[in-house]
Amino acid sequence: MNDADAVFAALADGTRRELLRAIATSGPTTATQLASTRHITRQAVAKHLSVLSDAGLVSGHRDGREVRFHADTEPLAAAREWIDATGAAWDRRLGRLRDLLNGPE
Amino acid sequence: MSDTDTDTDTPTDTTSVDTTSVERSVVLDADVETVIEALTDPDLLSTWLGDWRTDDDGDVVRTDDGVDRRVERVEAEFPGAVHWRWSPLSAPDATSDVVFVVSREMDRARLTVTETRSASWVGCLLTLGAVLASRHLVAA
Repeated sequence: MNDADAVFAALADGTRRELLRAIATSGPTTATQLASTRHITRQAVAKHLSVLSDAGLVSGHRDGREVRFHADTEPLAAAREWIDATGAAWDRRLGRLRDLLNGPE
Repeated sequence: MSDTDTDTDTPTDTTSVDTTSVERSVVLDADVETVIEALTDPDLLSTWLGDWRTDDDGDVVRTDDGVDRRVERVEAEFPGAVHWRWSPLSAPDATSDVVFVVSREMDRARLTVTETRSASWVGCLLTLGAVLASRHLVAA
């Protein structure tokens, strides 16, 4: 799974998008704080944070007994790169299709 | 009216990119039926798109970036169109829609392909982008 795929997979879930928005808006926060204002358990929040963290969208830093998470923007650029890579891929594919159908020049 | 000829260096005659999708278009020396066949016949797909195989769960194509993609056929909205929804086997949630539209252009065929990422993440990117931009403005 490349970077963009990990980002897209992480963002495919509505709860994770909402958590990411909350972290991006409120600044560094903990799994406990995130769970306290939602109808989900701290464990469920931690699981979502782990997926977001694997995608590089949040990172956790230890603060005493808690881990505080903040949002990272870098992977969003990787997501945008998907557009460039996908365009280049279709250029290659359609080039081969044209060679196939048009025959040798 | 398009009067573009084929003697260009790139296979792409028109290009457009927005935040949600990628579109490419090419004119082919073939009739519409032949192009449709190249989009639906596994042997032909294997020659230009990537190794095409069928397993118990359906169709999988290995594209030239080495990614195995599960291809789900979606009913096209009109004749002359082929619609897939595909996603890497390694990231089943990262789906995108691939729509091919084939139309007759003089005695040849124009093929336009559009690949669109599922809407959910685009909405998220826009929302998050706006949130982060406003925070950066405040911070600056």
